[in-house]
Amino acid sequence: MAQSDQSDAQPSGRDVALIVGGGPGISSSCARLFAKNGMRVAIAARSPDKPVLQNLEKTLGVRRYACDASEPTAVELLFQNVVRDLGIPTLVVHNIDGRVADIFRKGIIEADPGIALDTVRNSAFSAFLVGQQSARHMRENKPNANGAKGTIIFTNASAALKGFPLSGAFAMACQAKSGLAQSMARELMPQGIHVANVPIDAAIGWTQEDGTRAHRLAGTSIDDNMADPDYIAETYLQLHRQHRSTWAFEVVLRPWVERW
Amino acid sequence: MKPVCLVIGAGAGIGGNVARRFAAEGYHACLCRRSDLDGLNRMVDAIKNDGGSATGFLLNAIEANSIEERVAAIEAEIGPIEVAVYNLGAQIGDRALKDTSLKAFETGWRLGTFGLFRLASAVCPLMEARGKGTILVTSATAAMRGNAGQHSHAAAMGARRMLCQTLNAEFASKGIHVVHIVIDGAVDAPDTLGKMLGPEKFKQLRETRGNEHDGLMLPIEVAETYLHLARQHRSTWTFEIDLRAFSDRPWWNH
Repeated sequence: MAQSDQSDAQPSGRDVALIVGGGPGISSSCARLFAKNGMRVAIAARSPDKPVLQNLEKTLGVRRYACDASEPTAVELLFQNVVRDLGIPTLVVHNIDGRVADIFRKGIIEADPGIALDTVRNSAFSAFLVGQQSARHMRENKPNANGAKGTIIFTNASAALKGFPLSGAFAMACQAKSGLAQSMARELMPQGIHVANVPIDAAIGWTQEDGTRAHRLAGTSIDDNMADPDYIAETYLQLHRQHRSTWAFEVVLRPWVERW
Repeated sequence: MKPVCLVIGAGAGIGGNVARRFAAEGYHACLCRRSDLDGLNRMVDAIKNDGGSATGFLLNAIEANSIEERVAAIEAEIGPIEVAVYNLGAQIGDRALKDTSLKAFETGWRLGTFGLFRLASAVCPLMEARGKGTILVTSATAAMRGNAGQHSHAAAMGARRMLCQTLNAEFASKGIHVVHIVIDGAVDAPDTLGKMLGPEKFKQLRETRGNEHDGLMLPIEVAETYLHLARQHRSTWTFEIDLRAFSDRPWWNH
């Protein structure tokens, strides 16, 4: 175990969490849970002025950053700003799906090549950029009580596990992200940086204003048949807290009734 | 009445520590192991000294009806088994095919696969009737990859993994969370690795890779993940998880 007299990574002694890709689902749940657990939380999105993110700032002091995570210079700047404002992150969550509306349910014959490339750039390439910046900064951290310099978690999807029809671009993006995560894990875990790939093998239903949980296409959750992002966040936090003698790499999450 | 966490294979490694961790969370821990009554009593006493409740049983999982009768007796006398942990290993070290006897192969299967099938047959109907339950199955690198010399172990663990999948397919939607936990590295466990290596080699391994190096998996830390898995909300269950020390190279898919 790490020596207890070593100071934590941050002067404040608090974990700094950076979530890249922000919306009402996993990112918001993570921001809430991480903040409740005493972390300083930053959230980056292309449009950081979404009401849901403003609300996180108002209620929990979550810092918002504008960032197009598919742009190398933008990601570099994001990390510089977060380090300046909060300190070096000890937990980074890459939470970008990457699909744009026009790629959904497009067969291989009709999928637009430019949009397919955008999907891969938004998802896998941005994961590479975020992973690279995370590694460059985290290696400067001192190991915490669990012997870790930091944790990098990639939110992934069913498409990381199998290529579905009418989903070629997303399959490319997700499997590329898996390969990247695995390569990074082998490289960085021996250096004290925990890397995890978390395919969410289900529709995600987040809590709406009326208290129901729903998904944009799949409708409302019934009997917990969709993944609840609040509980996804709990597994992310547990991954972050794992002792370095027992690190998980891949954790698939799916509802109890999901067929797979 | 406290819910019961039943551990089949409760040595001083993952099994004993999982029992202890769950007992600290309010479960009554039932620790089962084949031999070493003194060691068993020490673990039960340690749990009680911490303010938890626990009972120890000697149990030979290969014997007919041993698992079935223990499950029935616990349900009748102690409480409902909410969490069942199948933690029997079947590692016999690397052996060439010609050195792997029929008996060794069959024993591997009995401990690795058949025992889990019997445990599941005993607890699943009870858990299904209650609409909930968790079965945590400790597994190994050999469940994912047949390495040289692992004829008996890999066949047993590969079958264990597939059994977990079919159990999950039948029982997840009935409220039973089955988890196949791939322990993809050496565990700092005196009763298994320690006995296999012998005291001298085990001490050496601890000094070079274990202790402050954290290169041997610490069972008490592994137990944290077991607890998390048992607590996962049914909207986000994990079926399979792989664990290893940060510094470990021999991943199952390397």
